[in-house]
Amino acid sequence: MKKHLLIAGFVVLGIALIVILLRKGDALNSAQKTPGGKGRVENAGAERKGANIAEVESEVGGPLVELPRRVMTQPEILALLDHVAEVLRSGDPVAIKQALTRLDEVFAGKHHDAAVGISAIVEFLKSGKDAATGEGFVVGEGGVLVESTTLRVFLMDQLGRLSREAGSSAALEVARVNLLRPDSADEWAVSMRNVAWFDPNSREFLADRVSTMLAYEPWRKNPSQGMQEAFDLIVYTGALNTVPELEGIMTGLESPLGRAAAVAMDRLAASQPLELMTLLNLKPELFASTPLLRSDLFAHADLSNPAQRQQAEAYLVRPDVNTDERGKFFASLLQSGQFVSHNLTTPFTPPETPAQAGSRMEVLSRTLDSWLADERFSGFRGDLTRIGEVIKRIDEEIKADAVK
Amino acid sequence: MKSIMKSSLILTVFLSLSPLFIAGNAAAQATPTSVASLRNTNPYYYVGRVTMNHGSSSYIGSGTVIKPSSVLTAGHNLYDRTTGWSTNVVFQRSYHNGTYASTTSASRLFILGGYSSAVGTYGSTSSQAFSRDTGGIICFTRPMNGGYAGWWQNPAMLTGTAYNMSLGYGGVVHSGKELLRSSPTRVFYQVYGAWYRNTSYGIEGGMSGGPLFAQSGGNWYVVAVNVSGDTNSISTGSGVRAIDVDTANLIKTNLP
Repeated sequence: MKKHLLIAGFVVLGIALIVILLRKGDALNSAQKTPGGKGRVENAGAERKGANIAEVESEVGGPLVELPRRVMTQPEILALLDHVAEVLRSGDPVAIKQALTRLDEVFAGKHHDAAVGISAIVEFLKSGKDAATGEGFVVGEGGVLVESTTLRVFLMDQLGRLSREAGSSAALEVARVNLLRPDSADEWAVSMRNVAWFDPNSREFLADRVSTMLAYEPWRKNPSQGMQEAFDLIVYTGALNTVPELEGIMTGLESPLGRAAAVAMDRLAASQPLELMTLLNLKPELFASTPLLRSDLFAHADLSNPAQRQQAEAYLVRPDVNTDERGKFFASLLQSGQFVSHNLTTPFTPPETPAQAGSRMEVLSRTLDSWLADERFSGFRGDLTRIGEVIKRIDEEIKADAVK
Repeated sequence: MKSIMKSSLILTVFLSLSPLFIAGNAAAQATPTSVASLRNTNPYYYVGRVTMNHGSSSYIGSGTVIKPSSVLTAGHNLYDRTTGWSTNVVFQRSYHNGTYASTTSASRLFILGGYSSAVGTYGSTSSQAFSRDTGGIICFTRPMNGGYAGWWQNPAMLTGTAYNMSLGYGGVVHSGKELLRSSPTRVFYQVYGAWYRNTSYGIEGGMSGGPLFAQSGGNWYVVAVNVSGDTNSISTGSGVRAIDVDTANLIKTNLP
């Protein structure tokens, strides 16, 4: 009896063991299957048709969760872009972030191919499809966008980067076509950047497009972030013809464009001091209602440059420049300011170093000495003496700091 | 002084250069209160009064020594849309009633922001936008003999459980001649981008540009800059501009 019971026990145990092993086999298989997903991505377009976002995203290893570990084909990328547009329309910030991150991988990741990416982007842009991302228009290092307002803006930014990588003219061609009609200010901004990147002889064309942008009333009424960032093209092209327009924007009602115009003017003064000072001296009506802003523009003068110094001196003796404006000019020569940011086309310029400031002070000190001896400036010798005293005090501060 | 620097993959942390000091009486204070007696102790001694002119008018603000020759402050202390860049900008560290640990003139003013910094969910006028900007002063000399405050790019220090305190030289209710401190009783909330608000405490005019310190692991870090408050206010409603990635990169890489 005992023997039979023992045999029956072994049989039951054996069956149980077989069942466990079989189940374990299934588990292993399914685990091995999960990371795959190539098929899913390849068929992504077909699978997505008619499915809502939640269904799509709940799929195991859905198309945005897992990308193939190889270069994607143009049809695959196009299908993915369609899917991303759907996700963007869902408005789910987490899904959107994930979708855009996946697109970054597709166009800039380990397995990307610039030529295929360019071809897919150009094709998608032709379709006119688009969706908002919910993000801003934020410029990062080297003029590359770190946030894009729409899928098309995102793709135009990627197209610029990929075209650089592949030595392709695709971004330039798309940008030139896009700049024919004022459909989207943000698209214009990134398109103008792309033209600047790929055509060094495009300054005249870009200056014309910037003027068109400034004059386009619907955009001016509701300026987008992209439009404001596009003010950098004014600095890039050195479009001094826009100065009266910028002055009008700066001195008008307070608005986001006022800020953009102020930054553009400040940078025009820093990048083209001679040309701007010459213009302002030729047209004294410019900034006549805001003389303290005008003095800031002249304070960018490099007084070691004879031509720039000449324009600064011509400004100082202008009959319309009063004591307050002149005082501000002298004070700003000591402590000039700058806006620091990443820009679409012009380089990031860090704040002046103490060594650069020291050189500037030496030049200023020498210049003040010669101005004090110059009869043309005898009418404001008191101002010159005062600023000379400030320089002397600063010099003493520097010497005291050096011995600490 | 020895500099202690730590970094992680996610957050960049610059530890204070000074020895640890637990601030006395560091409790929540909804309205600015004098901490003049602490002005020569850590972390208060990194803070100073900033004086400046906008046109012919003189103003008081606040700032923090953030690198050997650099002071962090608010953008609106340095630029005004009608008068342009501020002039005669001077930083007086540990200022108190006419005395100070050091005084230094600015050689360069800067605002960390470009063409589109004006766009925000709340308010898009230029003044408000500038007030959300971080600004800085490059000094001709070193305000603290090379020492500077620790800072941390970590908004969680505003929204989490860390003790926060705003410092500065309030000149609306107070005289602008003594260092003040106020601290929230509740956490900050994000308004837009790096702009955070808190309705549980107030700052007054003149504290603009001063630091919002957070305490973690016994150390103090500048995690934000005071930028906005109610007009007359020591009431409730303060806004700070958190140290974000761009600010962190600028401090780390470009400020002397």
